[in-house]
Amino acid sequence: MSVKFEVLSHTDLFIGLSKEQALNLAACGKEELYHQDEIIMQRGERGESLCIVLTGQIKVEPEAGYDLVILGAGQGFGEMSLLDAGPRSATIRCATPEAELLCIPGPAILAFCEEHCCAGYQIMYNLARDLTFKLRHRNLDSRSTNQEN
Amino acid sequence: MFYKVSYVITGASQPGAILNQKKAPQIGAEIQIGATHCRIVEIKNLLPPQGDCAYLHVTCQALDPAAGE
Repeated sequence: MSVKFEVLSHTDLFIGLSKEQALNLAACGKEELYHQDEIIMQRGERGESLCIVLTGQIKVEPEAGYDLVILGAGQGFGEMSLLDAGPRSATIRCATPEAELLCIPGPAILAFCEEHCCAGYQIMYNLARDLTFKLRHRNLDSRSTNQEN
Repeated sequence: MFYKVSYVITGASQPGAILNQKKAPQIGAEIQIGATHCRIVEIKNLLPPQGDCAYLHVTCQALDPAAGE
């Protein structure tokens, strides 16, 4: 695991964690490389991990032919399945020539949270805050689209 | 300090984006969001800053005519 703390410190999931905590949690994951248009997650699949974009961009497709949002470095995805154990709600596809991800198994994140309660609280707070930011973005994006139509 | 930015693209059928970046966005700067090349036309604070993170909302204009098709 060679992800540097400098990268993790600008990643939502790791905000407020110590360097040691962030590196320990990141060490539970593995780095994955995807290429343009390659599918990273498939809608309807069982969700098993939360992924963080290290470089490049990915796009979120809740249904075929509809791109909801593009996520860049520092952004996480797959958190819904981590929290509610439901299937993936969208297909995730690589939106740039390459995208590097850090994918951490959901059970490892939950175990880390249980073992380190203060850090666990911070991680759950970070996840909630990131979800509300995505909702705000979606509201702003919808408003912009409606104004154009 | 880093910036968590909600990008909305006007004049394109392409989706917006959420990006974390070390440099503050600037009006007039050009940015690549997925397949869409666009120019920043407006920047607003979206939420109060927290810790080292500022939360911004940026409106962009698509520069690639094909992006609006």
